Amino acid sequence: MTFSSLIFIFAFLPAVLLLYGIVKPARARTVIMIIASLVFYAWGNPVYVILLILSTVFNYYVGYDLAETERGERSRQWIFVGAVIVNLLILGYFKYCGFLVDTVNALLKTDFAVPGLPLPLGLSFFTFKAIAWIADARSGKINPRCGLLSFAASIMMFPTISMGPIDRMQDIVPQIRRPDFSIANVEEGLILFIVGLIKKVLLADNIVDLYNSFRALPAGEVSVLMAWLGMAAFAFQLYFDFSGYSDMAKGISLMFGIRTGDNFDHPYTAVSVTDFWRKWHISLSRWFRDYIYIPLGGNRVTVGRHVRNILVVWALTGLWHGAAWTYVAWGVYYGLVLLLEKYFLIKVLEKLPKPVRVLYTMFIVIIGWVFFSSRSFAEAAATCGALFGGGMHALADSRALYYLRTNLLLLIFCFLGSTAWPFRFYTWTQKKYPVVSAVGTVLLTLLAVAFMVYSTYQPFLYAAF
Amino acid sequence: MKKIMKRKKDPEQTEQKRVCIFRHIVLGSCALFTVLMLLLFIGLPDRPFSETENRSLAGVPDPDAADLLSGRFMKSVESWTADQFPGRTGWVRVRTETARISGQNKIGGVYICDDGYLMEEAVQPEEEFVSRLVQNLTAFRANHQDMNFYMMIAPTAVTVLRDKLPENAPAEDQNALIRDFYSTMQLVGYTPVDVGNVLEGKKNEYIYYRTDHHWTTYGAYNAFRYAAGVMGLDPDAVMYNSLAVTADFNGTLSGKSCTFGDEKDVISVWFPQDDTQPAANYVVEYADNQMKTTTFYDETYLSQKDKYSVFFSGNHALVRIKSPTAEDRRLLVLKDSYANCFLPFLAQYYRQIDVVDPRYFTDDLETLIATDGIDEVLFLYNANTFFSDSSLAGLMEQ
Repeated sequence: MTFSSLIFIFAFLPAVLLLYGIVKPARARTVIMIIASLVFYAWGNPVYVILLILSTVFNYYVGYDLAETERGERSRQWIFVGAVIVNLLILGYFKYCGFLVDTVNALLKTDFAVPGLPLPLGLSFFTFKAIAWIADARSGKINPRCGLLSFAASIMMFPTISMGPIDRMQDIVPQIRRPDFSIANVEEGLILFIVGLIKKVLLADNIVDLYNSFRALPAGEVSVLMAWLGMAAFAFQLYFDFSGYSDMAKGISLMFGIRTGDNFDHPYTAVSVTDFWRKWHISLSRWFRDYIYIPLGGNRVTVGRHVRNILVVWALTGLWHGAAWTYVAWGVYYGLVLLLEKYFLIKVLEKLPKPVRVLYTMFIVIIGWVFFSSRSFAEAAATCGALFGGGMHALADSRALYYLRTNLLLLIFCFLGSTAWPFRFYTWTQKKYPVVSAVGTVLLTLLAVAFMVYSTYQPFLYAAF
Repeated sequence: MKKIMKRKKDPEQTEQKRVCIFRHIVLGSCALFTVLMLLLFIGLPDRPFSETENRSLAGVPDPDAADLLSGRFMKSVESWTADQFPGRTGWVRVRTETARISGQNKIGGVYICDDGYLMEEAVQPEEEFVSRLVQNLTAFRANHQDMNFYMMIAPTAVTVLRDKLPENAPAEDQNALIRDFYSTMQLVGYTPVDVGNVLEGKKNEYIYYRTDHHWTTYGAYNAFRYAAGVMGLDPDAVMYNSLAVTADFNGTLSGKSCTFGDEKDVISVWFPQDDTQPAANYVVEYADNQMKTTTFYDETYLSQKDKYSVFFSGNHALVRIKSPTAEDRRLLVLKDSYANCFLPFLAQYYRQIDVVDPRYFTDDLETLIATDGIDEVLFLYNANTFFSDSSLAGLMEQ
């Protein structure tokens, strides 16, 4: 069940919200949240609910033990390391097994079979939340006496289970125990949800067609313009899909009286790559900073160590995004750019006018997305070639002009939607012309519903029974 | 002093109030809308079939322990709620109109073209698909050295009527694909029936439906006249009168592109002028339902959405057409629905035609060829089905 499905919007969410509103005791609300989240989780692949429950119980008690039980430092360290390894093994088994086997096969020319298990929903996200929980328990930053139920509701709450944000459990647990459930929060949450829905359904799900048209072309037929259109479409699709999702997650959480962290802050307006990573997938960057980068020593070490730390963090960031070497390359690429910026470029950049800095950043980001979106290095190289006129097909051909013309309006909306302007304008209209603004919001919501219904439209040329 | 303070505060308070009004309206409307949709969903009876989508709609799923555990039950619930969503077609139309306004002219793989034409985009087959087809067709031909093999792959409107496509539309030309395939097949003993030029010559006439993916009977007749030359038949032996049987045909492409109902097409059937011809004295046997009739046409379909099924009441696994011709020639036609309005022209020349649609035919083809004494084979497809449907290659592998 995705947030942008009819059944979620018209049945699941209203039903759970109504129940949550009627039932007053906080304890009962926690239970409702757990049950709703288990149903939500089970919707796609019911068997994995067992994994989610086991992981939750295991991590809660490890955290409890680390924070509460008197032990020697050594045994605490062993418990901590052991628990992290258990979490990573689960993640590794489902997410990286195929990747590992493929790599071994390629290196040793062996022929091991690749296990083909589907990835459990949100596994990468709740594993990271769990690791943060036990790491904070180890360093005494949490109070684990919240009880298993509150912890379970926090880590598996359906608004954030599938794609984050990766909040610290100590920020969520107190809110689960005393949710600030009010009409004002439901309203604020609903509007956030609608904004996210519009980003996802009206922008991301449509601009993706342009990207797919680009990917479907044979390598020799891609003009320079087409390659840039295709990669712009990918950049927009990825951003509006994920930030739309994050807005919806934040909005739904707020409807239930829980404030989660931010994940995006108009990253495509960043003035440097360093700035970009302060604005893109914020909760993930923070996780890597707090639980990998700083424990490694951060930047308070020698230059050589610092370079190592940055590269380790970014290789892992890449690997987290997907089990393939192209993702690792994408991560390391950012590590190198960030080092370059820190030690040299940032001084140069600061002297440049803002539009130039944004253009520079977007250039680096788009080249990054080439690796991120490619299934192989050969494909990435071909796309890079096409972007810069390698193969000399053409600067622009009639196909590229066709796609530019038919997608122009959508591209303009995507461009504007990447900036803060429409959101400032929206806030302004709410204050000046509340009725007009509300009618506009409702109409756009209805339009999003029309697009959602269309996505289930499956015409057959021959009668299908 | 107090007064000034109050006045200074005022605008902020009004703004706060306005934001509250804004939020109340949004929440109120969304709540009302959700309740309304739920009531309609519960109140309205489930529709069993969608004419615009040409398929059965999902109904209430039965809960079943195994389906629940595998997640299949949840998928059925989602299909059911989506298929029975109140005002489904209207919502789809809103989406389509929005896409059109935003500048899109290809919707659901269908180009919206000049003169009210809707054209399905050309299929680009994968290399493996083509090589499997070539391999199986070659083996099939090799098993029947003594027979004539003809192959007609008709280009669709998107190629023949490409002048009507939206500006710069990146529609692939099927002719190159078809002719490449012909030259490969010619080497292994197939005789191509290349109707591309004939159709291009008639491109200003009504040879394709505007709202449907088929050719018109007139288009099929022109192709037939060319095919007759290749297959050693005299196209002038029979003269025809055409009769328009409906002018209210809204075909599959209007459903596929969700531009319902504006444009209508005319379906004609063609009768031999001289009713002493075999055409008036044939028998059509449908193997799937054991039906026998003395007509190619089923006019009950003219009052339904799927009016093209007036020809042979649609597609069947196996149809046998028997005519009292002087010559005893027996033809096997392996085909898609492009053949349905073409076959009546062929029936005048063959004692028996076995019409096999590989998409539905599950029996053994070799047995059929042997028992019915077939001595010629015609493959009759449009390029989009031919290069995307794997059932033909599958049939040869049996």
